[in-house]
Amino acid sequence: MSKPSLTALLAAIALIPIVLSAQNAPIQSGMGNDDTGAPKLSLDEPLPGEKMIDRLKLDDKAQAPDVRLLLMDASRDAAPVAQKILELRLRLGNLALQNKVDEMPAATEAYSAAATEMAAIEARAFTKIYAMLKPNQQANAAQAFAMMAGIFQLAPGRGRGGQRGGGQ
Amino acid sequence: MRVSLACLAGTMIVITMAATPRAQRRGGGGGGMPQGQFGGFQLTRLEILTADFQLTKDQKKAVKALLDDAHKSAAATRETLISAHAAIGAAIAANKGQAEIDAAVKQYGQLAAAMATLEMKALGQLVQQLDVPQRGNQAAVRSAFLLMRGIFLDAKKWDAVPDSRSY
Repeated sequence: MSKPSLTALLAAIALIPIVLSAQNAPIQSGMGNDDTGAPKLSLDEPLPGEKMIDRLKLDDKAQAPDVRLLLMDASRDAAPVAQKILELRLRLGNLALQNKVDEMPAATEAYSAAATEMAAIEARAFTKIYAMLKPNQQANAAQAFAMMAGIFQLAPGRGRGGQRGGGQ
Repeated sequence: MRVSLACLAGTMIVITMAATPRAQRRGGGGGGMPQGQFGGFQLTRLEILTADFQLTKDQKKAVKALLDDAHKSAAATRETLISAHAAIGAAIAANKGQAEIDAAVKQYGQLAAAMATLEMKALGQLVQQLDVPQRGNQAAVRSAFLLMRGIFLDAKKWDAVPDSRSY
């Protein structure tokens, strides 16, 4: 064995413990410390609005840009409602954690009002989108509207905020 | 020198290959790489809860059982929620009057609230399974709070990789 290859072999042997210790490391979510524990939005996964555009087979030049603008406008309108919904979820969550079940109906009612407001925003946006559709595109409208459910809210697979668990 | 570099390169390849299976099990993209890159897969809800709270075997079993039950109990709410959302779309497509659309929207809002309440109650039950130090892990509790959104939307199972479905 030549001298250089012997050196490399020794280097390889010296690295074996590093490899083994890497394999024994605890299995983690693979997400960063600034994560929520909810998965990141996959770079490969299209945004819900884009999925809807695909489903409706909208014309890239004539229809899709208008739909994107429309969704952006609706998203702006929806932002304060989404915030309200998040706050109400937090209230519900805190009541559940404190086992104050008797106080939950009031929070549920408030949530209902906010969720109705959000659904109205989705419905208004969809009414405008539907009006743009050609007859052959309307066949997929029901599926496209199903994709709009919660489109203006933060969902586990759509975004992040806070930190993931694990640390105390 | 050329031989040494070749051996070193070979060693690095071996290290990379040896480390790959573990990196893939970490839910994709260990080492700060974005998920989905290199085909890494993501963790399911139960796997995330287990890792975040460091659940014992018994706790994991208890959490699974309670969320299985909650998932079953949520079936009726889930079905009516999805139907109510479809009814809004159908009303718009059928060019129904605003009053009818508003009624459908209101019904959907009530069902969305009912679903959110079920999710939060399940969170409360889940936390009751934990020890005091685990409950004090605020980051894990926050993570669980976020994981609960839409947990019962899939008719088949709740223990899946969270996706973009919402309500």
